[in-house]
Amino acid sequence: MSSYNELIKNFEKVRSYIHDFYIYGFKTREQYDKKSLRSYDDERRRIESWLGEYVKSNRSDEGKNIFISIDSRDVTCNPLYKIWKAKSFTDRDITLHFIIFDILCKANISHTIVEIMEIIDEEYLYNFCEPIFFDESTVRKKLNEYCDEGLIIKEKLNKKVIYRRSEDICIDDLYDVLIYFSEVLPCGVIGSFLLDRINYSKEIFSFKHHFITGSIDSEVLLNIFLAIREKKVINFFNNSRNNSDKKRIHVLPLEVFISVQDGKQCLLGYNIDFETIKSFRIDNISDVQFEEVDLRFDEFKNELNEMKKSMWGVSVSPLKNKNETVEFTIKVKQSEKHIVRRLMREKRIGVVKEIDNCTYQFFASVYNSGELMPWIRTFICRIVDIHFSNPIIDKRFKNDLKKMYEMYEIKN
Amino acid sequence: MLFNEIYSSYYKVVRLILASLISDNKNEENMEDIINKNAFGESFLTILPSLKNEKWQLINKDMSTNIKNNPQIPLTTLEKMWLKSISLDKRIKLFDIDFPNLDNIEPLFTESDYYVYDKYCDGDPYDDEKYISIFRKILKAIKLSLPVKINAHSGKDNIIYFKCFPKKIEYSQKDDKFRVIVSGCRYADVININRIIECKICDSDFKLYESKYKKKENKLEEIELLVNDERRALNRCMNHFSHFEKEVTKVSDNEKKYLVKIKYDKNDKTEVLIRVLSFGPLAYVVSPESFKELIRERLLLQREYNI
Repeated sequence: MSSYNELIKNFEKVRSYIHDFYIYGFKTREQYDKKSLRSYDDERRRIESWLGEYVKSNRSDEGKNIFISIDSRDVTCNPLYKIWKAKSFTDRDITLHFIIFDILCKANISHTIVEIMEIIDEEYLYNFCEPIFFDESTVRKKLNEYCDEGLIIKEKLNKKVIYRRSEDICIDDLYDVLIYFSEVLPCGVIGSFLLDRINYSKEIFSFKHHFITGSIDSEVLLNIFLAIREKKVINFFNNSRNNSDKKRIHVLPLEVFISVQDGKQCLLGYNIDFETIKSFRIDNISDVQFEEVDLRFDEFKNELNEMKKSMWGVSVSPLKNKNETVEFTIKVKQSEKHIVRRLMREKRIGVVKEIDNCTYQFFASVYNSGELMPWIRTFICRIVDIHFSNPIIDKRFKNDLKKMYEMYEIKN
Repeated sequence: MLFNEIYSSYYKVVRLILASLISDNKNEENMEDIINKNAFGESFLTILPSLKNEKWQLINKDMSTNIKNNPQIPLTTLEKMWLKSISLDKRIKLFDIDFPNLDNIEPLFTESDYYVYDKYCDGDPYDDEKYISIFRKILKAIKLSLPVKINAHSGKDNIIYFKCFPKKIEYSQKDDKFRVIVSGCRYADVININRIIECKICDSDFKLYESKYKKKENKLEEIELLVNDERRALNRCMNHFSHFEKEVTKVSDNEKKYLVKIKYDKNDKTEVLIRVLSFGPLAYVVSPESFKELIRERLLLQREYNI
């Protein structure tokens, strides 16, 4: 039986726990049926160790439930980034890491692997009781790993392979830039890695409407961006509720759609199997693998740009020229011009027409008019007229309103 | 690869410990302090023992080290690519910096690779020279802890003049706006940077003024929602309100109903109100009664339109 370790080898396993603890957080230990109870205990202990004060618990008749609760306005750095810094390693990994970079301490110092091994034994491990023995393949493997990460450069000189550290870049003056962008740009955890390299103390920025959950999907997002850069097809598992058969999906990624109102991140890409542009929630994607370059990238990207004119959110339609329309009218008081301003700034692809000084009409032609329902409800108390061309959506909106009247006991 | 030990907290801690030893600080308490500040809750059980018992062969018995140089590593390709992406973002102009040379580096992404589809369309003017200048002055004042004199448009479009200490810059991705959080002023706690007409950094002794008018504390209020998990309402609700402190309990197994408690800043009550309304009948306000009454008022008005 392996003993508990605060660090982990596989991020995917903890990703689903973080999701459950952060988004839901009502499940008790016994309700985590997909894993063993021992595994649950270990993951819970790790998450408590990483996130400390943000992990809370409740006790009910059904047992104890653990949840993560963070008021993101109170934090200047996304606490979930810490999880990305919990990768396990071996004793040999860490020892070799610091020795290699001490040997190759400047970009103008280069050595062959044999030289590096000699220096390790003679200068770094000679005075330990039981010095670790590094064979040549271990050192070469580690050097090649660092070459892949761009930390070390491998060159040929007089038929010999030599290694040197890559040129460094000074980021000492970038700390306020890094603090800001690490919280607002995709893959912001990389900014957090950079911040770990410099000393900074002053908390300059805070963030409102800050959705931090997407950071646990950063590796998937990163691979999607790399595929977009190289115009490559990827395949992945889509763990959505509509895809229970766990088949790999082959997609040419085109663009990532991000919501700043609920933090949702979606991949919009050309589905090779179904020959259509579709959206995939990034939190449902796992195990991304790269395939070949697809020369049709620009063609599909142009198609997606055209499609955006009919997209309220991330829904796309396989049926061309079959848009649904939605039209509603609101009435505001003279003193409520801020409502009109809100309508204008939130209308996205819609069009707003001023009927008179107090009446404004919104119109949009979209793939899925159901996506507008939550937003339109924010104007409840001012909607004088509404019509969806899709009768199912029209009925649902009006029935929902009736249900609300009943729930809150609003009588005729 | 993003999940890599080279970015780990343990490596960072060991780097800091080695740097401390190189500078001849062999104090064990200092090392424990480094661990507690930079690693996780239980890291102290592993890091120092592993260094001291020669599992990680980096520190000798006498607490010296064979490592000779400050143990920094160069930036990874991934880090450079992400930095390149920052350098191409239009908001980078707000910062008065000389960006490192990244000419041969590909960006990880550009603005054409991602699309924020629900951002409000009246965001701040990041290309406006005057706006950039005001932003930089405020940033400088915060870093130097200096007060500023501000001329600004108020919410009601009057021109106001006040002195204050800028404390932090708050950014909302949804609004795409920067606001400055201030203290020492009775007229404002927060002001949109785009409303500022003029900003001057003062070097006067402002301390007395600051102590006279203390910053108002954010006051949290709590609402309790009963969420009916139809149409994935629970998932949507928990994501939608995930940036607040919150708690959810299952009410009944059969009915798929959940009680969700959310804490919010009372200044944001109207915003929270319309966000709750956006869930329609799937999120019912259980408490407080006063919040429920606000929903009822809106529904009463809506009912009059006979939809």
